[in-house]
Amino acid sequence: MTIKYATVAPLLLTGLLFSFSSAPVLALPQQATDPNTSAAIQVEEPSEADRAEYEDIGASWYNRMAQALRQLNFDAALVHVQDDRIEPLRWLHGLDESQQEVELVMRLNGPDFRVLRFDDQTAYYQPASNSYSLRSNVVHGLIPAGFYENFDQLSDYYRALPVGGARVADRDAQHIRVISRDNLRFGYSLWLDKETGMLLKSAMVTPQGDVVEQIQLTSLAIHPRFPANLEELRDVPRPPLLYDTDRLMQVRYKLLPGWLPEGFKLLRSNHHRLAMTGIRADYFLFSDGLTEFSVYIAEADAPPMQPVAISGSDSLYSLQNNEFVVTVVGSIPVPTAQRIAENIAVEPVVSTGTQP
Amino acid sequence: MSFTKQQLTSAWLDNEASSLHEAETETSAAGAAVNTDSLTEVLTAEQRALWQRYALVGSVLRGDAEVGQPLDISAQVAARVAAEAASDTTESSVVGISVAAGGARTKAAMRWLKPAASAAVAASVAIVAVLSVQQWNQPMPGSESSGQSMEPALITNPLGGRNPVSYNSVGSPGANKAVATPGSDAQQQQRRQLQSYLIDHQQQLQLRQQAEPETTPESQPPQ
Repeated sequence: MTIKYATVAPLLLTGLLFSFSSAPVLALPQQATDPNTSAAIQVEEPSEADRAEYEDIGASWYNRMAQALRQLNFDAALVHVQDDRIEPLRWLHGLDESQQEVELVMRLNGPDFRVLRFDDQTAYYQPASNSYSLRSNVVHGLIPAGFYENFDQLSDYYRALPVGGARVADRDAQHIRVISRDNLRFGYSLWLDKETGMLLKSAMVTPQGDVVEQIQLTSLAIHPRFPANLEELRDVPRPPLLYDTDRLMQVRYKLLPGWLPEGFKLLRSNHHRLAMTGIRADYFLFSDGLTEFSVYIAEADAPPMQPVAISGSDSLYSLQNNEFVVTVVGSIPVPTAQRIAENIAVEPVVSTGTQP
Repeated sequence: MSFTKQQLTSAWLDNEASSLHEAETETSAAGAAVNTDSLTEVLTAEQRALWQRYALVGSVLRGDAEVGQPLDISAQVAARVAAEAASDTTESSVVGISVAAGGARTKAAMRWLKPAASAAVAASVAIVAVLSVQQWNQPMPGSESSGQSMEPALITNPLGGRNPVSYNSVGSPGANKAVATPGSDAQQQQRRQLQSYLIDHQQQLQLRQQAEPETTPESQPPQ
């Protein structure tokens, strides 16, 4: 059932209907096959109400997933596929009697990198460099933080559509799609465990339907109670909390975005040196709740360069705008990054100080 | 374990135990142990591990037999990882199946934190991959004849994520034509810069998840 994402809404809906009829096992969360829903999808022209109903079903599945990720006691093995890279991981999560979450993510290949989270304290352990803790209630790098949110937060910019049933990781799964309403952002295909709502498989897809990043669980054990092996983790020494010094410095320039996809808000801005190269840049982080991208403004120190683009699970578009290099990085399609970058104007903040 | 018992284990898994079971009871003088239907009572730890392996093999085979699953480029990998994870679970290399008691607890906890491994790790925890760089540049006048500039500059190595060293040693195909191409050094330099943007983006994403204790940046616009 590899239906490509249609770019036109009516087409998309027809595709949806088609997949519905071929998958009669569509089920509402908490509820077995609903005869009313099956009847509704026989209608040729779906009304607004039907459409809204599909979206409600999709959204309720999404919310079940968000809840399951916080509440289930699970022990999973998975592969994370990003562009041409494959990373096997082990992922454990538990919620104890005092409602405290414990989560552990381990790399199974290469350096023994682990992330251990207790509620909003997340520790990143690295074998060959400094380990550190962050105040964050989401492990970075596995699934988007937006997966833990209620779909209401996203529904202005995304729609969730139930697709049908499937078998994933030897379990009965419900397939839903999360698609941006404006086709300017990446979307997700999600396969959720019908019994628990747990995420079994996820694929980040371009508006054209190309897959850029995937997660696939290969085994999943769900425990009714907080597992004893997670109890052990409480005794693990935790590394120091990272002090975010990047936030200390104010931006030097004013960013005037001429165009942004709807719903992106500025979350964070500062001036810092980049990793590796030490380039000094003004930094701006935008998010719509599910997708995030960064904008960097650096002073050009080299002869003018041509625009550069990288496409992948993180896209990049960099261009020179007069004396500035404007770079947009994020999980957005390259054309979107390009349009954002091309429409950015830079204005010096009324200068109060001098260069250090 | 005897071969017959192995067969029995396998047969049990395939729900074909009854016939073999009879055979076993006939041949085995001390067949009493096998006479019970409860697997856990019959099987030793070793046998249970065998059972698990058989079960895994079975499920992998069944998984492979499945067709028409979309996006499933990772079938073989999944199988291998499943095997890896399963052995991980059964042999308890990481997670203690039973909680260690008393003073051993801390020791057990330390198993979660293996000391520095030999392998070098990248400059960041960023999970970054670069599929390709397309330089949408006009052909440079000097290099047009060499055809180099029309070629998209491909970065196929995950530069920052894993192996920064190999990044440095990646030879540009135009390295010997430095005169014709506008400097492979410059190109290298640019790749490095792009990579640093990608890595920094991931780092900032990590940092941004910190619950912001004070005012958010948007509430204090630059003066």
